[in-house]
Amino acid sequence: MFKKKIEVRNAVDNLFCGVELDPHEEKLVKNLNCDHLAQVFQHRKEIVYAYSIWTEEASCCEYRGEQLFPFPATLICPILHMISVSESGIISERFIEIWLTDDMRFVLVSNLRTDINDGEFISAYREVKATDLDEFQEIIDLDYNMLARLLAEMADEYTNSPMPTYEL
Amino acid sequence: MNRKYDLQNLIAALLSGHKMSLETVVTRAGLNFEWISQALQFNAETIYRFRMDNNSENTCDYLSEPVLKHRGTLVYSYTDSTDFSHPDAERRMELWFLDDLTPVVISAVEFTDADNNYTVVYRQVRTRNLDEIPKEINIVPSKFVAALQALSDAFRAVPIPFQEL
Repeated sequence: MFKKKIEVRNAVDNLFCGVELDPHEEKLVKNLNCDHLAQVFQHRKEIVYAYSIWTEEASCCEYRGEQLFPFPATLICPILHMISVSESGIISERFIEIWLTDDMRFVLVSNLRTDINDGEFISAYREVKATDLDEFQEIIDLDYNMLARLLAEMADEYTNSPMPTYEL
Repeated sequence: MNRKYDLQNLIAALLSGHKMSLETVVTRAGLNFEWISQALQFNAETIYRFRMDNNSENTCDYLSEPVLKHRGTLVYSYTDSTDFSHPDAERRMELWFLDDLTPVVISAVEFTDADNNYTVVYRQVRTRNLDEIPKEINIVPSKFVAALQALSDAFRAVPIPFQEL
């Protein structure tokens, strides 16, 4: 637990390194409960695929492409970048997502998601846009205050929602 | 003009495990490797890892990063319907010949909504190793030759410019 907590703390510190936060958000980051955050990351982490298909039909019609990262990862924040809806109701959205991989690296990913007939067929194509935190800002104008609040809310999930305790 | 012979050697290698030898193919189908080389060059396209073609009004298309640096031409594809079955989606193995005449097997998963002219297709490289190609894609000699023939015919049927290869 102790080691994981330090790894999470380091990752968070790297994310906000050199960023000027508002006083409230600065306090949130300083007081983040990294034990709880590590538990939530563990609970939420998943294998991320370059391409996935979900359908309402039998599972043989679903598809998973190659893995995007060598480790499972936790989605920290999806940011909607573009949305297009056709007359027949096909929704295409592009998100820029921030993921935290199991080895505690933040990765910026683009996700082109399509939804046909309200969930009858959903596909998500992802590709890595940046792995270096310095490059994130060049790709998207990140709201770090929002990120700070988001991480604080995630940490609170450990006590506020039913989830197991993981041996970390 | 070595390209023509490189192509001939490549096709011979891909057919080497089958009873139908290159000589038989050439005799029966009358394949013209010069024309096929020209058609390959003319048809070459960027192969995208993911693309969305959306022909409805006020919608957008999407092209991802390319799968490979080289452009390529789709030569042959094989679908195993037991593998992945959905009325509007299919998973197929594709054999592409790249610009530098190297073969590559790509797995393609395509979903089409015919009513709306909407298609999404995801492609992933399976192998670029000639020896592994037969393990990844079922090359049916007659269909493979027919596909080559179609490329060759296309060169003759439409006014494709003759390219210096």
